[in-house]
Amino acid sequence: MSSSDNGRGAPEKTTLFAAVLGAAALFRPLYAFKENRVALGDPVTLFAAGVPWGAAFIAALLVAAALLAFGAQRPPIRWAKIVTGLALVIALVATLGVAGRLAVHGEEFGRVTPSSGFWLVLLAGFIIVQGSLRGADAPEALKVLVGLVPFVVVVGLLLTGRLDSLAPVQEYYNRESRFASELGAHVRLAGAAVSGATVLGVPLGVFAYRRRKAERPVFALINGIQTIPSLALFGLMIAPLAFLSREFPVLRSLGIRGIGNAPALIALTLYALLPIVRNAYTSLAVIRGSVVDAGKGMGMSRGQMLRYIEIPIAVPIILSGIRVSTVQAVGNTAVAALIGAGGLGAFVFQGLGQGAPDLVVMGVIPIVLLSVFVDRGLAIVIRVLTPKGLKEAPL
Amino acid sequence: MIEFRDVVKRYGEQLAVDHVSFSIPEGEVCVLIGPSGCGKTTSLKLVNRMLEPSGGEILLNERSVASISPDELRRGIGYVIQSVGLFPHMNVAENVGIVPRLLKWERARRERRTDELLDLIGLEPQLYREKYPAQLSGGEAQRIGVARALAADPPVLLMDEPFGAVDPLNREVLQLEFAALQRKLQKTVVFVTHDLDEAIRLGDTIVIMKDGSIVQHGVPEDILANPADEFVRRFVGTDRALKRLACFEVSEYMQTANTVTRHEAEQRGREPNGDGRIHPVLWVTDDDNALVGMLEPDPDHASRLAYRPYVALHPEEVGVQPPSSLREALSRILGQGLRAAPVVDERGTVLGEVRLSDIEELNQKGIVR
Repeated sequence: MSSSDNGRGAPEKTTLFAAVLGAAALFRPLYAFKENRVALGDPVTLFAAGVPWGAAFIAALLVAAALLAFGAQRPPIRWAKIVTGLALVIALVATLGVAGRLAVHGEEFGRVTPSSGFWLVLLAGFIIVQGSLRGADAPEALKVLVGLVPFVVVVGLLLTGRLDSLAPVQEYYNRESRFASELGAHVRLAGAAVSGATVLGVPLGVFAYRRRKAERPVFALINGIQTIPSLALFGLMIAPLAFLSREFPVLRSLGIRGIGNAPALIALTLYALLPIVRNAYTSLAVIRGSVVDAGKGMGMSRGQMLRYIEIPIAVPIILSGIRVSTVQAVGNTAVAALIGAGGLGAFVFQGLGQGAPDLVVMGVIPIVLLSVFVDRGLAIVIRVLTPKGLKEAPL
Repeated sequence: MIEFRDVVKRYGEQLAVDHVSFSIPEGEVCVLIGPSGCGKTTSLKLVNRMLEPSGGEILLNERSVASISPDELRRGIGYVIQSVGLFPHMNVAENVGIVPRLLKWERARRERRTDELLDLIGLEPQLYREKYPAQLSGGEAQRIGVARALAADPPVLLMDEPFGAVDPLNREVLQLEFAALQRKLQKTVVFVTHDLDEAIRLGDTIVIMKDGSIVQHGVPEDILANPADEFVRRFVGTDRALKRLACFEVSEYMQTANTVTRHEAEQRGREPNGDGRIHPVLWVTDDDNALVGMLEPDPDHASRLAYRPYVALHPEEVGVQPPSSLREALSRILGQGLRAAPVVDERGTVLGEVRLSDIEELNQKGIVR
């Protein structure tokens, strides 16, 4: 399946799989219509949604993708697949918006919840786009831009009110003011945890490398923390912090209590430590003894070693650790809502409590998007900072 | 000039270097050799203060190295190690230019110097400047390691088994290249190896070490001819006579060759030169004086002056060139079953010959039993 494979032999499996998946999903419900937010809802398929041109277009795109999968693996066909996938995602969301509007017409509390058919076709679209983008011979920046197209279109549809009939969007309107503050809390909490873990973890990793005796205990401790389920760790924080808060009014006045931000921040920081410590350790371990010897032997001072050798080699590796940590922290922060720390997880747990799955979806989608953007953003930073000689080569 | 004065290096109870004194004249290569743990690498590292001696001192141009700050000292000494230690995140030009950068040369001068050095080690600057260490072969990386050590034109080079990690075929090429380079640059070199052939090929003098002490110090041919003790005798091996021949150049032992042209050989039959004497071997050349074959005496023939029929030869198979060693000459002689090997230039022109009898005589004179 390499890009140099110009033969017309076997079909390209990823795209073919996605097209078949999407085609099968067309017979699953596109959305469920609900009279109000807790109603169970009636499933409606794409073909019954009253948007025949949308249904036809989506079906045609899936057929096109399947046919393209049998084409030769050349750049024009690759780009045709990418465009097909992008069109599929956009057409799907737009069709749902139009269908939803038709369905809720005149019903005051009516709304539509995207169903399995919608999610599966959406997934098929993303597989087609990402699968073909990955091996495409194009500048990295262009790939990122292409990947952003569906987000931009969906945000445009949201802002112009074309997706207002969707249940998660309605849940959003009901909590519009809280959404911004919870999003802020989520970002702050995850950001603070990763910053704290970086400040603690990088020196700890360096220490573990320099003192061979410290290596085992440090990693035993940090790996140990990682094995505690996040829910349990949040719970474990409550008792000691409540005690401290009761005994020391100073702490209480700083806002440290058994529940809320303080225990959440501590637990999240502890979780964020492992990838950062491990990568800080590795970043030094990969610098070969001979390289250090050569540097020393040609008369580099300690500072010059750091500047010319250690930092350029180590920084990208340390940043990769921070990247992994950040993505994890964005997810873990959702759980922190359980002990009253707020964040987007608050919507998720509220939705679970109220039996309102649309509210759960409303909370989950921004968490997923946040993870993806942070991940891609840091990946770009790391790529820029990685010295050219280390990009493809082993160390 | 480098001088070791009663140098001691102690690790706890153990003496890694045990009261060692010797000196290396300017522009000479001194090879430190011996079994692992004999203190050769330790001695080398004392010169640029990668290690500090426990006693004694090392003088560099009559100045004690202890009086120079380590970083300043090292910037004036080229350092080549077995694992090369090229910086993986820097390209070839950046690697070679690193010491000049530490010395704050301006960019244009650094770049000029880098290209000059790449030319010197036989790597096309346009092709190699931008390559990264991961894209280089072992031999190329090692050459660049040498270029990097030479960048700031230090008068002294320390080489710690520089060709040890390269395969035997490439090692020999690197050794010959380095020998040629050294003839041009005349650096004062401390060279550590455990390969005796390398020591003989490159060393002006050899220091044989054992358990931290010097067992013998001298020019290669003397050490091979007169091993100081049982240890050296075993170390240089039973083939030391053969190894010793590698110390002598063909050009110094070349004798006048007797030649005859192919044309003459054909015309005059089995007594082609007709000078009334018979030669142990008569080289046959073409009209351009290039070697094409030979004639050997035929003792069974009625005429005492007759030769056996003409035998065709390829100069690259039997000939040796003037800078080759007598060891190579001997191997050609034995390989072809001859009495002498023709000395030829690149085009195959016969310049002279090296005789087996001369090699035997040299061997008997030198070797003391």
